[in-house]
Amino acid sequence: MEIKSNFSIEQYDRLRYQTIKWFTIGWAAWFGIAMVNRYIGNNTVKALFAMIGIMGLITWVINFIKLRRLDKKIKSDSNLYKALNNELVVHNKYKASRVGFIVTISVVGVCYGITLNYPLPALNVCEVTLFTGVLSGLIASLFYNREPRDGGE
Amino acid sequence: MEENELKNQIKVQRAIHNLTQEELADKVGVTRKTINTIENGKFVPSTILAIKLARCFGIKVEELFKLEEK
Repeated sequence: MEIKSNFSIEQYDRLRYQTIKWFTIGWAAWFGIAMVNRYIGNNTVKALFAMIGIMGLITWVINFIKLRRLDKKIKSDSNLYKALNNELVVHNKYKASRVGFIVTISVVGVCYGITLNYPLPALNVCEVTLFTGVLSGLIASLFYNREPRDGGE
Repeated sequence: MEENELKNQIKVQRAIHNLTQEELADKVGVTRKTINTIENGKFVPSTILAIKLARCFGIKVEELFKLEEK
């Protein structure tokens, strides 16, 4: 988890991208499984899912700490901070936030529609909204900041 | 209404100055991905970044970026 001080801008950019990717995977596995596991009747499947969920939680925590450390390191160098948060990154952040917002509003709309005919537990609606909204925003961010197809040359 | 497209000479200028995308990115203080998206016309840079890029190649902004009608 040690961040080398002689990293170049590109290495920091790649490290940040990879950390966000594993943060997203860990969060999706943990939160997603925690949501569906209470409805699974089969104990073997439930135990297997719980294991994957715990692995997801560990991945999420490790990458969350890594992200915090990386953020601290990046903020300590103003040139590095400006380069890694350049106008394209900020532009992509807005685009990803818009995707997250649209998905959240859509899920709330769908849940609202369902509740007109069938009562839904508030906890489930909150979980689904939080899960889909955050996950879509993170995935969109990873998609917009992905490696160029031509490999950069 | 006519649509305009922003064409650029970054790839040509990089070849003239023997610079990689990463080296150019370092010089203007952005990431290689940003240079790549500008070069491929996927992202229109701000005036500040356009001036920095032109200065880096020692040419005018109008020489580096051209507005063409589609």
